[in-house]
Amino acid sequence: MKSQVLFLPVRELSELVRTRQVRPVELAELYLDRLERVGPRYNAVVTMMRDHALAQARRAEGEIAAGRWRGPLHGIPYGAKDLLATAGAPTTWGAAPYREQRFDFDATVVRKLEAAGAVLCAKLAMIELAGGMGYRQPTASFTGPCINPWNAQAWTGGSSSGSGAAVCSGLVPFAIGSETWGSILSPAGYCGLAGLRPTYGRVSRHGAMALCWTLDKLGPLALTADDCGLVLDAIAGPDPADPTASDRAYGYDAADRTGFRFGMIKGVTEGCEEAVVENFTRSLETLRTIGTVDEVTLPDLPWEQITRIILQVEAASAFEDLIEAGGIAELTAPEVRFTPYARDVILAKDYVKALRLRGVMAEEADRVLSRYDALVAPGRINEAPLLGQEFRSAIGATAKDVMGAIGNGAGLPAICVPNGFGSRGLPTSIQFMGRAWEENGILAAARAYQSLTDWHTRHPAIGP
Amino acid sequence: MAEAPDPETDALFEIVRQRYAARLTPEQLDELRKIVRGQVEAARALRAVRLANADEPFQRFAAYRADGPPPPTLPSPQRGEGQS
Repeated sequence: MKSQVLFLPVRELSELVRTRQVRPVELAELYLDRLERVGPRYNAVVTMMRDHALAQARRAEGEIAAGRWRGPLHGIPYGAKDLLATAGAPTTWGAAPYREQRFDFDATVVRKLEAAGAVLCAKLAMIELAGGMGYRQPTASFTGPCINPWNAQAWTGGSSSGSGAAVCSGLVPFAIGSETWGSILSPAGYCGLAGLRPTYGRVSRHGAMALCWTLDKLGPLALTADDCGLVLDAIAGPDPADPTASDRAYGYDAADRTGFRFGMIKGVTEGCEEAVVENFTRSLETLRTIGTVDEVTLPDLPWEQITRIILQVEAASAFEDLIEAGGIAELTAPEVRFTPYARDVILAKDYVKALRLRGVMAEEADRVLSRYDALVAPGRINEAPLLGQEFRSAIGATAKDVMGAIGNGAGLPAICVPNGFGSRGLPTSIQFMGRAWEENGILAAARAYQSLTDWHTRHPAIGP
Repeated sequence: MAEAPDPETDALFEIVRQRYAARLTPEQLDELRKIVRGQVEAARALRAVRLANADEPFQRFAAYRADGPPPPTLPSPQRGEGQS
């Protein structure tokens, strides 16, 4: 069975399960074995959920055998970023001070996936505290840096690092990650995966570590854009425990379409590596076969500073106790053991100004996006950074990321899919960012792109 | 090249130094000063943008009562109360 199912998209795996060509228990055992055997090569796993997974898989198998198929995630294994509360297992937030932390309830996303019949196999590694303390290099997790399956010298990106490594190396068919600024798109882009950042409020954050109350989003990493849609369908929706979770109905629409209108912010490739620009230029040629591509301009506003100040202040407040008590000294990355102290002196007036400018940001983004199905841009400015080196980031003010600043500051959905390889043999990516609540539009665009390319069908040589 | 003097950075950094210097090495203090300088520059970029009097923070708030309609945020949404 192994060669038959590994690296199959959820859509195809699901059909095998529904038609009983593959049993959920054997599927769970296959992925549990890979998580335990292959996972350590990439530092991808924090906690195995073997007993829990096999119980869920046995239940799924019984239901499907009895003709009660719940839907496309029924019997499908997955992994969860270790910032999602799960009763019965530690939830470490990737950080040494919380390595024994336990919750007595499941995060809403975990509950929704259980209701859809998915099988939780492992809690996956992450950058400590989702990177909110200002890390600058990959070794910022008490479980070690996540190693990119495409190149053992390279990082996976973060902060949903284990989610990226695990899907990329065929340890799970999909995983849940979180994004405050870049934490889904970064590992998806660097690992050659599809990663979907939903609209802020599309998915309940109940039971997820709070880093920034007005920026945190949960979403899937998977092999294809289509799979991201299937997962979003299961996890979206209102939740009394998180009033920011919208009651807007969401149903994944997998219908093919064409005639897209794409916008591209002027200068969006400035600062990108040469191969990223080349691959993006080639992607634009592909997009022009399914739609139009216009260059658009945005007002000259301090987009990155707006989102950065909101992030820095909210994260410092969320972890005020840890910071002021000096608990950050126990974190793994040397730079985050003291740099958060600087946030004490971001003035309240400046934070409120950022919140006021956020309104301008949201209006301007919507004004532009109302004319397009998506704004497109490189998913990342570079190939995956090397382990042991500092990387450039917009959060650290060492790189530009207008798309990320606006997308996260205004809470807009975006999906990243692979679009080639760079000079070091690592994946590059393209992102599609849409109007608020228009996940189906960007999923359709990304699916259409993937129907014309085969980058998502290429996988790293993992070995047995 | 030496950094230009900046009294605002100096004043704010002094607060950080007063609060945390006992925990920090001289190198860490130097690094923190650079970070404070970056924060000040980011704030200046925001301050340079003019807004109208009525431009509110883009953040929802509503008065709360337990038996009232659902508020935009809960006073305690139970997101991070784990037991370590």
